[in-house]
Amino acid sequence: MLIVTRRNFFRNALAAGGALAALGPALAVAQQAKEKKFKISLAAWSLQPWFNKEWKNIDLPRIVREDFDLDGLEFVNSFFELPRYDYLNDLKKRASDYGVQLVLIMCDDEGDMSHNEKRERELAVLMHHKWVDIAYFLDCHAIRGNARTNTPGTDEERVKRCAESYHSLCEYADQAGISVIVENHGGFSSIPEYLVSLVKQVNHPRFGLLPDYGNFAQDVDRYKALEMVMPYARGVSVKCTDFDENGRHAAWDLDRLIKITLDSGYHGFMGIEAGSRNMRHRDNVRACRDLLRKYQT
Amino acid sequence: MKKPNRRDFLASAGLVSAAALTAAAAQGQTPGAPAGNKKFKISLAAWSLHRSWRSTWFNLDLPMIARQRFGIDGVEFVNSFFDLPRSDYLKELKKRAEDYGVTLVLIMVDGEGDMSHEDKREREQAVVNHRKWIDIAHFLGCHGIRANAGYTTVGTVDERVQRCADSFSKLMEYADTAGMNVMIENHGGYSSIPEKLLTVMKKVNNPHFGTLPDWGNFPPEVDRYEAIRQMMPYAKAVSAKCYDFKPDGSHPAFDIERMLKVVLDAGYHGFIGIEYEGEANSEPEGVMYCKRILEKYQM
Repeated sequence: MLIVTRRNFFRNALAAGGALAALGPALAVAQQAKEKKFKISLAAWSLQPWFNKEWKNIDLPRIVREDFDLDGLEFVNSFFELPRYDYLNDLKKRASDYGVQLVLIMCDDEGDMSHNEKRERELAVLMHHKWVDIAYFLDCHAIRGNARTNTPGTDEERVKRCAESYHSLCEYADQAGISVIVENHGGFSSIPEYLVSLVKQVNHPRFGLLPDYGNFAQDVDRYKALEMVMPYARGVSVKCTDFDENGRHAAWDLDRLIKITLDSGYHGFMGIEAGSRNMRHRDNVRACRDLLRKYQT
Repeated sequence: MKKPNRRDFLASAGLVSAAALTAAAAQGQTPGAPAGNKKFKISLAAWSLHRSWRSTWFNLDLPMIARQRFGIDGVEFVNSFFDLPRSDYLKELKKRAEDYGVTLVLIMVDGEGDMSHEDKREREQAVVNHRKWIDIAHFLGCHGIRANAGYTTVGTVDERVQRCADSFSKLMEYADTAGMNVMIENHGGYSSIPEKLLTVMKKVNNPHFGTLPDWGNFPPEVDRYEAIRQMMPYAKAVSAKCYDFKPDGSHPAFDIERMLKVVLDAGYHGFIGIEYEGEANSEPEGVMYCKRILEKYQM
């Protein structure tokens, strides 16, 4: 059921690319994608240490194309300037000019979707509405929310509360054709069994996951975990740290994770989320990109 | 079509969020409600300080500025001055307003699209763009938002009025779920011609939809006192626009006291927002000149 949904979505995304193609550079992107097993996007978080120093959110489409020659961009809401229509129009135009697809918006600090107080959860749902609206205008396919909470309760109770919130948010997002996805991003969300349970309890065709190759709890086998969650994935965060001079990734087996991703039948965007503390961030992104490209054809 | 039916999106969005909004507890004010023993309340429109935005103040500072610098009880925001309105930021803003005992009255919304646009998709997008400010206003305890009638010059004025009314009717479906007011100001174009603005009011015909009469913002041929009188029956807020003051406190551009009388004679007792837009005085001086005149009529 969920797989069918994902296929439908992917077809829609291509159709959107086709509309853009009339404008020029996106045509090449759409055609390339047909030959490649997946497309590669840049997660804005990769450049986080230099935010407001070297770049602003509005610069990202240009950076994605000119510095990395990638086809997609994954935003973080915190990097946005005040998202008035004038600003969003400019952002959308730049993405179109550079032939960059705006893939999704990762949303942080908009409230606790798993809070033990109902009023706080409802407020968090409402605070996410604006990002659904913004994603809709920017032709993103999804927003990513969070699930972790420090409020009282067992993890089972947290999952249940979280599921209620996300079901409600999906009802809103469904009207805009936007998917809502949750990442393994701390707390119970970093334990795959709970993520799968969350998907089942949300029980909404608009809901899915954004597996991140890092971010699993320490005692979790990330390869098994990724296999478990991939059937529900509507995006993938290729989290990486240091690469050696031969382009190999030391902290975990990226090749194996990429294979697991592709073996699951996933063919959407793979978002580079570089987080090395030693490499220059642009080199870190390029090293990850070069590794991914080996698996594209 | 990438997206599902936009009309459904627009039409049913209000219904979906109704439960959430209702449950989030409406603490909004009633505009025009009596101001204790005073005839009206005074608020500070953030626009009064627009020249010094970011050099001496940020949006988060407004409750403190209203209370400590001016001794004023309310703030009227401009959306453009907000930082990214994430949950944590809004909670902080609300907390500061509580700490300083300042009412957050409304949000003036600019730059969110053209509600009278000739292209239906642009109008629908403008409606969606405004929703987030309704949510934010609701959370902050404001009674509503001020939007713009639109800027387009395509079509006759009557056609623009009709398109504008259609857009605001859609926006009201969303605003109604939160009990939020939506106001249009005389703010250029046909919105500064009272007859046309009133036509929009009548067409939308919703008790939560009204005007925000601004004492300035009229073309020279319009009699501003008569125009304000006409707008007052629909007023849910009032902008005490003022310009240069003389050292003796007089205001050559127009008669503020006469204008105030028009407002009070209409039975209005809500917040009157000081909106200084002069150049001869510093911004704080301009605000204080206006405040002194208003205060004479408060008791």
